Amino acid sequence: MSRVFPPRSREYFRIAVFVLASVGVIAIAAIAYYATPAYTRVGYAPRQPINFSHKLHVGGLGMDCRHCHTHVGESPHANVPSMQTCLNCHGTRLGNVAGGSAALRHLREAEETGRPVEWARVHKVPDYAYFNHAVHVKRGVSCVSCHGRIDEMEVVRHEEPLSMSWCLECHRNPAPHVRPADKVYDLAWQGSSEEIGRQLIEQAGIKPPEDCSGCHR
Amino acid sequence: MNHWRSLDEHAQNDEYRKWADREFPDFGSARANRRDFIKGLGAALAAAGLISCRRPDTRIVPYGESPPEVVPGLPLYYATTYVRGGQAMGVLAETHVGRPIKLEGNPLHPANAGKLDAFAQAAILDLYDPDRSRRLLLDGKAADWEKAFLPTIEALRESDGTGVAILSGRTCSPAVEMLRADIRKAMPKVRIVEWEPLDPNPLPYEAQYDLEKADRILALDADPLGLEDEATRHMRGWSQGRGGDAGSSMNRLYVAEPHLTTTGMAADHRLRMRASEIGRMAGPWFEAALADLRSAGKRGVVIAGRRQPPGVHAAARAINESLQSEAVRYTARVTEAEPLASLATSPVTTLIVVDANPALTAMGSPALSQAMEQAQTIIHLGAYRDETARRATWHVPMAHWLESWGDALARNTLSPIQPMIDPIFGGKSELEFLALLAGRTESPRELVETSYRKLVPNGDWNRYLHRGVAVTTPAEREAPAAKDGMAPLAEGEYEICFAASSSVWDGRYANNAWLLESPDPVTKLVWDNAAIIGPADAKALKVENGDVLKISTAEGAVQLPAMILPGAAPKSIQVALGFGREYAGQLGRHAGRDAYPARGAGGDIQMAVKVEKTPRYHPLATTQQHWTIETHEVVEGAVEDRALIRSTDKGTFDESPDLFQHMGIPEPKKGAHNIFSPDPSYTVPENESPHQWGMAIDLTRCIGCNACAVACQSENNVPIVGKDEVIRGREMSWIRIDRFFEGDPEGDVSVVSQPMLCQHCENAPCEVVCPVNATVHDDDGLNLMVYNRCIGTRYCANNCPYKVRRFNYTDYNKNTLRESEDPFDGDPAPNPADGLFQPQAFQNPLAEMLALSKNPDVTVRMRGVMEKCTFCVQRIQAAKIQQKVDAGQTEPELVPDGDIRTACEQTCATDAIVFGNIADPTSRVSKARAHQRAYKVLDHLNVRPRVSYLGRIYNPNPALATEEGEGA
Repeated sequence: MSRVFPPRSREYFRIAVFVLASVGVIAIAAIAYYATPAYTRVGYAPRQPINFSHKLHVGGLGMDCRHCHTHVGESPHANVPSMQTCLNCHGTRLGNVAGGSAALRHLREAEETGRPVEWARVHKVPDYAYFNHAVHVKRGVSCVSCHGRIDEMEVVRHEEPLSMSWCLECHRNPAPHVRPADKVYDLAWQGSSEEIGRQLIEQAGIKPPEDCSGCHR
Repeated sequence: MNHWRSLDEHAQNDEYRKWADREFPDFGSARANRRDFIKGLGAALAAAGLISCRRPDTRIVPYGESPPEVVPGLPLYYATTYVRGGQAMGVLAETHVGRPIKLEGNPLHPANAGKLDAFAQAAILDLYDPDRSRRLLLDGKAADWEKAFLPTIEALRESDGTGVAILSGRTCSPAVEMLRADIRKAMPKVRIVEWEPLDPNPLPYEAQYDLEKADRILALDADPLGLEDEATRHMRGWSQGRGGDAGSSMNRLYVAEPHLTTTGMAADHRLRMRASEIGRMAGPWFEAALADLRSAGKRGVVIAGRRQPPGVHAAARAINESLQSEAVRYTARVTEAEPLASLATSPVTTLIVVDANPALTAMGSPALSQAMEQAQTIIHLGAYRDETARRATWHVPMAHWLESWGDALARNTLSPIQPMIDPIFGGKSELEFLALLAGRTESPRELVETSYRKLVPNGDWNRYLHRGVAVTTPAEREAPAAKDGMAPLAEGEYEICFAASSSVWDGRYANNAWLLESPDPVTKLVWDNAAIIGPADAKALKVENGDVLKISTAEGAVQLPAMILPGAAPKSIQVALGFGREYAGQLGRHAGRDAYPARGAGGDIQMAVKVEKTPRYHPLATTQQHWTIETHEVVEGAVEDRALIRSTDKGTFDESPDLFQHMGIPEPKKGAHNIFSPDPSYTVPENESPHQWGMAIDLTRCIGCNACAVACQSENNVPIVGKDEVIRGREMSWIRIDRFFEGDPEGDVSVVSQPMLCQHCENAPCEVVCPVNATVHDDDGLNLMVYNRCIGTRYCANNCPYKVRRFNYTDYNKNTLRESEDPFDGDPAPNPADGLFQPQAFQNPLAEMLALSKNPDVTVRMRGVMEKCTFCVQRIQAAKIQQKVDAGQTEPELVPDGDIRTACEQTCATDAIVFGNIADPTSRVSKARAHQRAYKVLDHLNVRPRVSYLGRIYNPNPALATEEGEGA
């Protein structure tokens, strides 16, 4: 009977198993790290057509979030303001604040042509997830819980992973993130505590949904 | 009691077993060959490469200047009006940042009281139809509006109107009447005529019925609960008198008709009789029915069908007048239009067609077809490049009614038509076009306001637009005397009856995919029309379903596949009009055969019809056997009736009101097909949530009209799949309406329609077999389907005893059924300035246009995932969230009963469907589930469904029941 396998086949086989196993382990490790929202999203800070600084407007001038994101308390979406909102202060016929600034070039164009500025989207959950801003802010979850210290950001940066497990952490234990209604838009507020949260949860009967239907429809 | 869904099921043959035994019928021609498989593999690898890239940059484009009322993310509802054939229904259109996506009835409008029919529900799809016409055409070539078209109209207006005729459908719009008066002033010799192909010879009077005031109703070949005038109103009226509690009063519906209709399916007594014989009202059945009507006196009413000759209407009117019936009022037709015959008085040189399709239908009227031939110039305003557009000299694209201003008068309620969106493909509304002819320069909105001020002198215009209704004082119009004229009788020969289609109406909805794919309430046929014929006649002709028949009338011939349906009168064939159109658009073009030539000008009932069998075969797609639930099962060696449908007559029910509970297989028995035999150690986990959703469906009220199914399709982004896929049993409808016959297939049958949807079983068999937990329960008792988890094993569907789960075999939402490379059928490139639609802004204009019609609150499912009814979870969540938002940091209240209406419940004109919180004993649904007639389908499997059905009761006339032996 002739030999079917060459003499060193046993060794080749061992090497092959070793290589495949290492590739597999590396691949799994890489996916576990690089393909999760914690890596792919956090830190995303795209260039915007206008270098709008939240640090200047909110942190510096002390403007309220709702001055621009007007419908956050009633709608699922926290709307991006219309050009008219910007022009109320920066419009050439209105306040004309920073009228000569080159940074506002796109806004001037928008004012003339009526075509809105197209902002780069920073935060996006998948199409099959339905996040609702209104119910979160009304029940006492501050903007800062999901968006970070926007009031300190020169350029808006994706601060939290916004992954499902990250959402569920808070839905399972909301106490650290629930604060009094008047502190929801105060991003710098430091008084947050589990105890305050628990009291409010008791008072408002807060039971965040943990079922799929809470977010997926 | 023995119910069956189809003749195959009655015969228990192989064709039936194929559908009953297997959850997924064979793949047929869908199996790919090796080459396709490798191609597919390549595509999959390419896609795998793509997903490793960063997710695409997306943009947020805010408003330049926010309209004050628009809140991005929240829907806005505007009142408008849907009009079909001169019949108005109030509509509330749901819009999301200016994009209408769902229509619901306006509760303030008396014609429909918040409900809509299937046609109106589907109208939203036409708005986004990429086949719509997009350019002004002169002899088929793009032309210029300012330089070429306006001078033509100018010249017309300066003439005295000799030889000019304006043709449109029947109108109920005071604004249109106002413009017509102006046109007559400008062109005194102009002839303005109206043409409804389904009513070619309208009577000079009309009957307005109020069925809530009737205890005894006799329908003579009439379909008041189906496809005739004011059907939505009549459904509500009939349902109100339907009673349903033991001992309560209940109306009685007699129907004499040649072929089943939704009205016939709802009847207490149904007489199979040829349409040509019904008018004589001869025989013991009519004697008993008329005696019963006489005993009801003022609360009796006779309804004559639209296609019946004037003499039958006269006889019905005479009976109603002798009864002094409260349920009917006769008035003159409200129209200023001249009769069609006026077209024949002198030659027509210029024919102006406003939203009508005479090239398809004109053979119904000799005067009109003559005018079509004579006219040197045809100016056509229409939404599609249809048959008339291709004959026309000028074709003007027409705006959809959701893009237009207008108004409508229904009885004495005036309602506005308001635009929800700018014309997507450009186009002019009817009012704009007529204003051009009349030489009026006001905007269409101003015209509507002028028309409103005329009818409601001191009214509040904004309130009118807000509410969508205004009450006017009706002018009393004496109804002209009835006319004589009966259909000739010819014994022994075949008669043919032409009918409106439940899918395409008279042909005008021929390109609407939702309607084409909603199974006809009676035949369950989709994407086709057929020659409906009774089993006995089929046997005599030796035809089976799909064998093509050649039907020749005195007017012409049509070749149509036969469809054998029980409940048909002998020697009678029924054919739906409006199919088989040459230029309907890409979908309608392939559907069915055109029966207008066979009807010709001979009316809707014709005798001396020759019927021959041809050797050809045309496969019909019918869903009557799809998703079949076995009606019987073997328990301990004995065949037992599962009693999916429970019905009885009123007398029996009054005596023993709890009998519905004792039908069917009583207990989960050992040895039954039951994977959930009651194990004492197993308990269903109790839910903590105070909201527990459930539903009840009343089979005494459901008439199977399909409105719920189309509403569901619109609300839940349910895709269409096309005729081939339906033949494979892959239709995606979340709610299907099972139609059950009872009785002798060749004799009298009675019919029950049973809407079947996910039962949200508490003990759900689908959940335990899913390997990836993609279908699970939530705390509110909903059976959820988690699309992003689903890997498409289809085990859940295989394990569902109700067969309500639907699988996306392909990307139905992306692969539109349209095939041509140029989706616009040779239409010249649009002028970007003409409408909102800018093809250069789209990568795939077809799919992206249709994407606009989707509900943004519901996920659009992709290939390879399972889906099913969710009880409109998006509406549930929206209501619950609203309670929390309103409560702020206080305890939120429960969602009030009736706040959440599922799309099907919302549009059900007979209020057969009730949805709500079963944990609240005072809710409507709790009461319905506790009703004497309530039962659960397949309860013996111990799956604990959340949907209850209320049994069907008939209200037979004792005098007739003995004569008929069994009773209806």
